[in-house]
Amino acid sequence: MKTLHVGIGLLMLALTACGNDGGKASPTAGDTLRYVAVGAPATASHDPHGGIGNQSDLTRFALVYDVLTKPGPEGATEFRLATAFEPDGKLTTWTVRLRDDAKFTDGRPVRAADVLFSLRRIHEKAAENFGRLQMFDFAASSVVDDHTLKLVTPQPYAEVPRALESISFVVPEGTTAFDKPAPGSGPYRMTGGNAENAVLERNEGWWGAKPPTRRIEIRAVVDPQARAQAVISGQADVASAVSPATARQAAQNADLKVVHRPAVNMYPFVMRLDREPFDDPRVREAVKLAADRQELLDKVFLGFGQIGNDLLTPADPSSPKDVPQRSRDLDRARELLKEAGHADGLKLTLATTTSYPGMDTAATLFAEQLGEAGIDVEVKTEAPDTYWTAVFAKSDFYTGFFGGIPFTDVARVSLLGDSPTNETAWKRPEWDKAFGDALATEDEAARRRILGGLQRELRDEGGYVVWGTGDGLDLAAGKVTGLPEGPGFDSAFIEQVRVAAP
Amino acid sequence: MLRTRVVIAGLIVVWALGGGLLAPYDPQESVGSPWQPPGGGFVLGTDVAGRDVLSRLLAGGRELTLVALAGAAIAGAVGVAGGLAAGWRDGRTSRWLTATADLLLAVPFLLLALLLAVALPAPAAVIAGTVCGGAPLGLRVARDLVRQVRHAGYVEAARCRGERPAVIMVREILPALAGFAFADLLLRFVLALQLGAAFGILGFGADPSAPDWGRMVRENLPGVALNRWALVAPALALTLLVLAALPVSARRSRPSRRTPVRWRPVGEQVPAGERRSALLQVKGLTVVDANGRGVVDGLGFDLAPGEVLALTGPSGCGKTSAVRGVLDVLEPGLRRVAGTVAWRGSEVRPGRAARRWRRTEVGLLDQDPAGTLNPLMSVGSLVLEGSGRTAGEARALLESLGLDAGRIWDLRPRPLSGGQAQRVALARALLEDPALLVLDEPTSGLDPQTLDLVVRVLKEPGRTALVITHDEDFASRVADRFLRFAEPPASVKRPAPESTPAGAPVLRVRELSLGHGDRPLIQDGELTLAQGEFVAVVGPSGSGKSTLLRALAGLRPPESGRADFQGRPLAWPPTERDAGTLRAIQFVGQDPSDALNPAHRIGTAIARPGRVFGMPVDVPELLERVGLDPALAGSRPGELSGGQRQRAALARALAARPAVLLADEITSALDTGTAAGLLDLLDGLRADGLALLLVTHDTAVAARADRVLRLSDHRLVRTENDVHAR
Amino acid sequence: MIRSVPAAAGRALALLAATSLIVFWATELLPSDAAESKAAGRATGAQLAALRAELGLDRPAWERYLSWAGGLAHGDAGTSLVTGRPVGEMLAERLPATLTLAGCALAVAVPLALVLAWRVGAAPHGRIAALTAVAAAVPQPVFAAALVALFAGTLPWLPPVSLLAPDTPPLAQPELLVLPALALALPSAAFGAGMLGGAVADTLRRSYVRDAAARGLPPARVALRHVAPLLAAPALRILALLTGGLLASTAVIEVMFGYSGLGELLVSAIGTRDLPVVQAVAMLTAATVLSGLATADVLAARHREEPC
Repeated sequence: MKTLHVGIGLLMLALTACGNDGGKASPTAGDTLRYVAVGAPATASHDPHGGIGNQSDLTRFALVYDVLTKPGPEGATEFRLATAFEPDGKLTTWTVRLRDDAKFTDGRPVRAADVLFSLRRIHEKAAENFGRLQMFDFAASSVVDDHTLKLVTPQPYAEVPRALESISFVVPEGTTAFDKPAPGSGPYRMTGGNAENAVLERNEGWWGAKPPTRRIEIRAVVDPQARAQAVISGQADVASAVSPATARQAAQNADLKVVHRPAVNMYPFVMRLDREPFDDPRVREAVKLAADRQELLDKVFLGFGQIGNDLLTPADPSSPKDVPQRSRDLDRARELLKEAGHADGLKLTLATTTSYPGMDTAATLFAEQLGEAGIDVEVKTEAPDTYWTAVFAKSDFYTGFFGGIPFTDVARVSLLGDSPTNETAWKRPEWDKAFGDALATEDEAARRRILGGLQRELRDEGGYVVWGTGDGLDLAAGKVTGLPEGPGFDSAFIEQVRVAAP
Repeated sequence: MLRTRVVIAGLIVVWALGGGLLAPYDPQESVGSPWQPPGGGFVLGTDVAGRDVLSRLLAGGRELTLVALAGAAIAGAVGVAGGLAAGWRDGRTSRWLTATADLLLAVPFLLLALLLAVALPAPAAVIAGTVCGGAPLGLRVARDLVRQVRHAGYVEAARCRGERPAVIMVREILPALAGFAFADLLLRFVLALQLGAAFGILGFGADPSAPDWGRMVRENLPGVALNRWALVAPALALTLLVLAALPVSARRSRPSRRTPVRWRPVGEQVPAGERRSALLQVKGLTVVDANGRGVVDGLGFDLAPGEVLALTGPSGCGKTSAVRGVLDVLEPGLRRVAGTVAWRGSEVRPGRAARRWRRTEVGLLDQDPAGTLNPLMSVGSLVLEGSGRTAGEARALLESLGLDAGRIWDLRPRPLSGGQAQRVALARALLEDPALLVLDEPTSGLDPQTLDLVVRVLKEPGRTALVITHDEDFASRVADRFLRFAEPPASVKRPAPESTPAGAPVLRVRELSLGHGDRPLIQDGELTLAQGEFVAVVGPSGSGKSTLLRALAGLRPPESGRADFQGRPLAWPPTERDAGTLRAIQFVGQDPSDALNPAHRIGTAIARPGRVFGMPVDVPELLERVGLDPALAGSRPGELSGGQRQRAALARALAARPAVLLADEITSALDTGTAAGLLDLLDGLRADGLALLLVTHDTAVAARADRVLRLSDHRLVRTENDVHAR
Repeated sequence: MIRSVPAAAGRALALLAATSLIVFWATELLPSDAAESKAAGRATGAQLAALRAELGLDRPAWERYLSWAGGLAHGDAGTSLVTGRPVGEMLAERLPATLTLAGCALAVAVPLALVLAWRVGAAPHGRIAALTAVAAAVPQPVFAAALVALFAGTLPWLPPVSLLAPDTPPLAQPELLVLPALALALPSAAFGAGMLGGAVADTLRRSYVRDAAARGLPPARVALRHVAPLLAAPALRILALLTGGLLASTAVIEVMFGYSGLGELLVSAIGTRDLPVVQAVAMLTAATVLSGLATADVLAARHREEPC
């Protein structure tokens, strides 16, 4: 035994000794922000126009490239590269004016041609980015002059500035190679590292307010525990998307702070309206009434979030605020089931996966709650790799995901009759028409009223059980200030984050 | 000790399988808030979804254990079956199976496991993963084991009985592999458990609410700071389950049924001469085995300079252990518990001092000298290893032992003949001109020429030596004094070879040639064996004596020539021979250690020919005839000594009531008394017409034969009964 | 048996070719593909078809296999379906990190395995053998978590995660390597010792080894001159398997420690069905294991005692 101990000791020594000569590049505190973001190495990419699989990539692109617009406070749209959007009377042709002081890091000015090139490229990659710019007709769109372009939509579309939020990363016209970073015009430039572990330094030539931090390191880390540990142990300053348990634990630690971004995680239960038994609205209502929303919120998100009212986009400015909260009513649920002909019970299979933390727990708990209403549910966990292709938008009853995107986007991908993934088979021509009418309404308040009505209809008759939304939880060291707190894409814009010098 | 561990293991498995019945809560029901620390009715707190950790812990081992058991069984079976097929015969099947196994080992297991996990439902993926990951390793090991035992005496005996390969594999090889197969099964069980746990940890599986230790580890990892027990408890449970498999795998050798040896040295013959200062003084040496039973009990003796002391006694009496105890090189399992050894008056303590003493003062020649030569070293480095002598001195010594030092100096031991190798070992023992020479059973391991050299060395003036031997004659030839571990056997009956009237010839060999390809062993061998006749075959080691016997037994086909049994030609392989011929020609091999299948009881082994040939066999009577206690029928070979095993093997051959007995060195492992008894028995059978063809290098044995044939220069040469004509 | 180096190399190459077939077709059989993974269920059929065509997934599988294997033979591992970057480049970016980690782990595991195997071989039912078996049997994530809890939690000596600084060689940050390397090395060493222990026990029972001890040769000499050469082949074979297993385990360990290496890449590439990446990593591991096994076969043939 003794020799063994000595042996291990020697080996440890040898191990710690191997390579002591390399000096550590440790930039002075206050100077550098070390940001650990969600990201897998296999999807880390330099292409800002395809499907951006990693939050780490999105955050880096938001620092390196300029966008036309970004989400602002209270659901407003903040202009970045764009300075004005002027629609024609029919809301089908929009003149976009660009600021004239933006420059790429290679010195070239940012021109309308660069913007149109980038938008077209995003559109070409529709299959990878959920057809995000499908409302535009880029063949008809054109460059007017160096700082003006004309965007055309086949149908009237009042929300063009919002449609361009966040993803409209602009690269120089004619860029074809994206295996390396293309020049950008954003607040930072990439100076080292790689896609998974990038070093960014302040772009002193940026047109906007000077970012307080000289250098930002963005690292992709898959495991939420590892991200949290990085901040707790001082190896990083910010970790995005940590687990609720970590957040609760960190609440007791004065050196750490938790940033809550509302309504970022939503795991609705999805019912298909064109299949039995969900084709019966009474069954759908019974399922919605059987949910104990508070229990789900407390146990899945440890209470970090808001209970849901089956409204798909509660954070969207158009979401109706005057709808009474739906609460649990088991008697009414049983009654509805009996009326629907399921007096002797109902057997269902609920699919779920582990792609997002808590999805499987949510399904398990919901199955239990449905059991109390007389619905016998078997939960089936599918591998996360195939869930989104084999189960999502195909199964009758499963656990879905929405990450805080605006209502118009949700409607476009999931609710219109011709949506690519109309997962609930929500096919109502009059609803579609009302949606089109809303987008043809220039007055914002009126438009929001129509959209709110559509959401209310969906809440009452649609196939989504939105039991709650979980906060996005970012863990940061106490010295970090200025982290974005808005929903959705807002979290990617971290150029105004400040790290206090010790 | 072992039993308690097995009981504990059993309890753990029972808990794993049935613990769910004791769960205080429904393991699937959410009864509290998530990750509540222990307390409030939850002994281990709650988990990620507010379920009771204890209940899930109790219920969470069942499916895992069952699936792991199934996976282990299938993977073990596939591995062993593949190993049997690959090891039985070298050839295409073997190569393909080995290549497939290598291939499966080469494909990254993680990839394979992940692919399986994605492609199959969880239990099937665990089983398939265990097969893919475990069976190739098992196959390789099983194949090597089969290769080792496929030439074992008991397998060859079965082949000589004409049994089919499939039967031999199932009846002889598989039981012999049972120990390995069981250990293999446990390894696979551990692998399957790990895999099951890993899949749970990675989140594959049908029902997320069903309790599963692996899944519990994954689910509760994020909450470790809130309720660490939710993570620690299932991890501990997994570890415990694995631990449960271990004590069962710690197979212990069965305690020997040999009666504890209580021999005391008797008849120490102190020469009347002066007992000057002894060179070596041994007092109260006591050696016990692992069970604490005495093997050597209070041995004491002195050895004066220039004296040769013989330690004699029947095989298994502990004389080798006594000497090894003196030298502090006991076999594993034996311990020296009392006694002192003094060299030139000062004590030699066990350990480092004893090692230095052996190195500088002792020369040792083992029972099997050729086996002590490292096959990877050249003769030169073997002889010189650990010596301060020069190469010139070593060469001279080799030459003096009749070796061509120049030719063999750079050779490795393999091309050397048995006799040459023995002499190389002898040279190594003598090179330092050791103050004490220790020889272990020189008569059983050495060929006659080397033995003569050893005698010459012992006769050298001033030679101090310890000689362990069971051969009283040899001892009296070389020793000045004796230390007998038993009364000398009653004077060995040595009936003068009766000239049995030669009956009709039963076995006739004509122009038989044997060899490996271009290397002939025997050319145009001619041999006739008559009913009741005893023919001995002698010749130097490696000359092909054994090969001749094995060929006649059917174990290897001849290159050319023919052999007739009772006028009908013998066929090869044995499966081509008719039952009558198979029964009538019986073969007893050379090596008693593998003559009997370790998995079968002695009685079963002896009764086997009766079952094959459909004739009654009286096992107790046969055992008595070969001088064994009939009670041994219930023992397994591991509990018998070498000599006992040899006699049991002979009894098995006799059970077939053969007409011809082909016996290969069957007396070499026996002490003189037993050997003589055995030969007497064979003499008795000869009177009933048994023809005996016996290979030996023991001159005393050959002296009892009717005729002696000598194999030299690839020819079988007749001698005029002159066994001393060398 | 294989005696010559060319024969062994030939066999290893043949096996490698067979492995490439297995790896390709096994990954091919995975449900879903990179195009579906990229579209994440939100694309129309036509868009999906276009994406497949763009990625070359519309070609028949055997054609893709031939072009992949052909490229591989020329050292070209193809282009990632997900990131569009050359696979060779993606691997090269991460290889040093994994090699460093695996190297450090092996530097610990191999001597430790030998020492343990020696003890296990000398006393197959002893306490050390039992401990070794336990260490080999504990699930690796549990082992790693326990190490972290001990050395980064209870005794705050080492960082709990190993985030490499950008553009810095991993060896320049040795404190980041210790825990993941130990988490890899200790179970591997125990596993290797368990496997090698039998061979050691077998070798120690050989009469020339026992005789060497009986002749009073120093234990170190007995070990080096008489035991080690015989163990070289099984040890090498086990080392090859160990390395393979280690490379596989890096996947779990790298994810747990946030260490950017090949294993992490493999796991996420399987998730996105980025087959060129999966296949390249798999072939790299397979080549390592096969070359090790082939070397062991050559050694074993040279050291074989009995003619066969």
